[in-house]
Amino acid sequence: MSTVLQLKGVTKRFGGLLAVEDVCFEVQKGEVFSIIGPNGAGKSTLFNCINGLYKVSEGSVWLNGEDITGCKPHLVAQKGLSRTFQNLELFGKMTTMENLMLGRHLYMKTNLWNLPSMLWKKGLAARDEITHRKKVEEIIDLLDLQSVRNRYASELPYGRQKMVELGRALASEPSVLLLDEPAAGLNLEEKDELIFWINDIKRLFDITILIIEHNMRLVTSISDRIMALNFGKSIVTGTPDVVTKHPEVIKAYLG
Amino acid sequence: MDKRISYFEDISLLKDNSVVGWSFFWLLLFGLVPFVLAEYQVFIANLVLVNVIIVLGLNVLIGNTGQISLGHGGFVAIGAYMTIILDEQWLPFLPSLILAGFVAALFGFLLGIPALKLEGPYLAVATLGFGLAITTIIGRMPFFGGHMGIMPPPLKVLGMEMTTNMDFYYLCLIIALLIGVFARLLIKSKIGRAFSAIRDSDIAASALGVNVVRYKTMSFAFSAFYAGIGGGLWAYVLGFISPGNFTPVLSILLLSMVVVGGSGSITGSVLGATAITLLNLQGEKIQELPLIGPFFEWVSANYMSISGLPNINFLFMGLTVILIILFEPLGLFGIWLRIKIYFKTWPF
Amino acid sequence: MIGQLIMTGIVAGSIYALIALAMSLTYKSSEVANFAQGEMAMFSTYVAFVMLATYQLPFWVAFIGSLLFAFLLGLFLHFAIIRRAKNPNVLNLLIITLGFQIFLYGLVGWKWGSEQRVLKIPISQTETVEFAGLTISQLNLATILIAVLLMASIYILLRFTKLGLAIKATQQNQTAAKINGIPTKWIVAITFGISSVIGAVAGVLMAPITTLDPNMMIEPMLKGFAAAVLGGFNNLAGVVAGAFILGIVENLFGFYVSTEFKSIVAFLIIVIVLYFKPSGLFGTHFTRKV
Repeated sequence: MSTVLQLKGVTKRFGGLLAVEDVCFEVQKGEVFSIIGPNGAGKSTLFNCINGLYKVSEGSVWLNGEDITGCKPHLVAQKGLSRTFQNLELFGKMTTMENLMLGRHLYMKTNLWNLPSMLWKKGLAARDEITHRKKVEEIIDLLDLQSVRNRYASELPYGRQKMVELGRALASEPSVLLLDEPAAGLNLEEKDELIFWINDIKRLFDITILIIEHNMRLVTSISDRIMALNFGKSIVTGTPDVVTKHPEVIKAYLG
Repeated sequence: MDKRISYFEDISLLKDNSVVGWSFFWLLLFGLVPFVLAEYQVFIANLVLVNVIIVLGLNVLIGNTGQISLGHGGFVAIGAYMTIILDEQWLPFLPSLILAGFVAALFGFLLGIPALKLEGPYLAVATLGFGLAITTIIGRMPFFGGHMGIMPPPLKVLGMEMTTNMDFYYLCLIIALLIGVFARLLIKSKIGRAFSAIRDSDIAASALGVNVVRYKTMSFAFSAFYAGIGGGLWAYVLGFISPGNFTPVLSILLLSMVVVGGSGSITGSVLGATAITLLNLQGEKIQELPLIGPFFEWVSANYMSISGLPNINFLFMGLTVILIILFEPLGLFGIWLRIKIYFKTWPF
Repeated sequence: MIGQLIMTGIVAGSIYALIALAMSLTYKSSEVANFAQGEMAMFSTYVAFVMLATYQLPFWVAFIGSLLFAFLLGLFLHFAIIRRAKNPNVLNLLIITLGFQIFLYGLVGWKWGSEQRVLKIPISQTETVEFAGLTISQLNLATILIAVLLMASIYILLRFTKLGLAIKATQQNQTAAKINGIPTKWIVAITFGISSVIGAVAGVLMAPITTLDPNMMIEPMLKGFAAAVLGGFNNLAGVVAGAFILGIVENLFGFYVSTEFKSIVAFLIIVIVLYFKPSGLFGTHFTRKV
């Protein structure tokens, strides 16, 4: 087991407000690590800090043994971290296919100078496009998105949109995947499916997953370890059993 | 379930035989145009082609990347002046034109830097100011002919002397075709997808590894390059340019071509540039039209004013822009699509 | 000398401030940067001109008549055009106002031709007033006074009246305002009307200085818009401050550095300011949360 993601005393301030305070944890390779906590506990802020969307005020973030504190989001993505968003950030006026192809952006080699080679089948740019299309089709098959392949993302039902976003993150073949409330807004059946997908993805892609989630049934059934967060501070970290029985967690969260 | 088509088919230019046939038909039609039209009409066709080139680039910036530019007249000016100056003293025409395009692109890149953080009205003002600044500076420098303007040298392309409007037509047509194909490839490629991703959600785009700074400035530079090339050709088509050609009105006209045609579409760029250019030129001379001309003259004499009649083109253009946005947000391209679908499913 | 220059700057700034204020008001309530503001003012000024020259009405009647016309024009823009946009995103709304601008420009050009006309107003442009060692023409003094008066009444309207409260509520959160029983549709329409009236006042004050023709408002409108952005488009006080700063700086630059580039210095300042403060000097910047 090796450490994939490590947070050392991460603190984030907005003006005088402490959104995240001195959070430390390590995530091992292949683990499913969940973060729970009441609304406003700083969970999404924490993700934004890891992903580079927010600048960390203090502390550092390490990905695969490399310090990524202060890196811009696209650099963090290049280093193998991908994420989904709580309120869906799909590319609404692009098709499902194009959304997923954007996940392959990092790996594609087309640029302005070799663009004309898209004209013939053996051209560099055309081959580039075709190879990555194949990868994307695999993910489309995996997540059962065939029927919406050529439909605009904004036209899809909510559950499908969530799957497209998950697929888009997967298409970038990350070593660490951050899922921000993947089950929010899904119905019971879809939630069950999601548990199934996440287990599948873990097995197939050799990936480490971090999840923010409110649904305790989902969290306890898929997580290896859980961290509970309240008022920006970590209360407890441990296996599902330990965390759900922790008195402060019960008080702050489970009520 | 949607049928899965071959991966290459999806990106290739000529998808199937019917597309090949239609492309051939249009090409032949465009090739024959100067033989059918009168001399002056060929001149107008040249202006249309120039605008098509500029709008193809502007549409990538506006329709695909979701930015606003009210300063594209400035890039057109840079292209026009640079081409003339380089052609006059240093280089043959084609290298001058391309180099002028790159100079415009450089300015586009520079404008892209402050534009990175701006959106909506803020971006509109910044680009507007840029366009105004360029024309004012050019107008005050004797090197560029000042207010009096300058004339391009006789046009010589690859050893051939080009003097008639028909020669210009074929030159513009070939360049427009090349540049149109390139724009289409760009939109279908990784770069075009990154542009659209920035338009729809820059946060998600960056989280997936798109360097937003790089692609936004690239989009500005790309559209400025097209404007520069268009400007260079425009100078030769007109035969004389002065700073008065490149006012904010030009930028607004270009913007309305994008909107009227349909943002984010190549066909739309072509349709929009054609429609607005013709409307603008024909509106000024509305009196010369049969039937409509006398009617408007009558209206003018009784309710409006005869001396103001040439201003009516603005009224028509404004009305077109408003009506398009109110009733057909996809622009002429949307109407085109509907016609196509209608005939595909005809007679149902 | 410098005092005199600043004075002239303040006069220009007053005009900019009126247009900037008008644009900012509508922007705050509907997210529309109304590019037609200048042309609407120009149209209203022509209406005043017709009432004065053709119908020989007294000035004050013509003035009030043109303001009334401006108000109706604002309502028309809102109800007939902006509300009917099918896909009202920022870009489309911006372009629709550009379309309206071109439309009005063509309409006025068609009706009254492009020749320059004279708008006679009872305030003298040549007679001057002196105070504190500065000379100022009656018209310029009136321009400043009327502008300040108008801004003060807008402040009072927004601060102390029920309508002002409704406008502010609508600007903050349209859905919430609607739920609380505010007829937001009308409130937004009224802000369009008020903006149009403010613009018309600027137009009537401008016309005697620049002469009346369809191009008269193009530059003041661009400057006013620029001033609004400089001050921060969503902050009314900031917008006014931006306008005066712009007017004064422009005049000082014109005298001490170069008259030739006076007209573009405004935009250079703005590009530089926006580079460091993307939402203007006094504006607030909203970052989208994910």
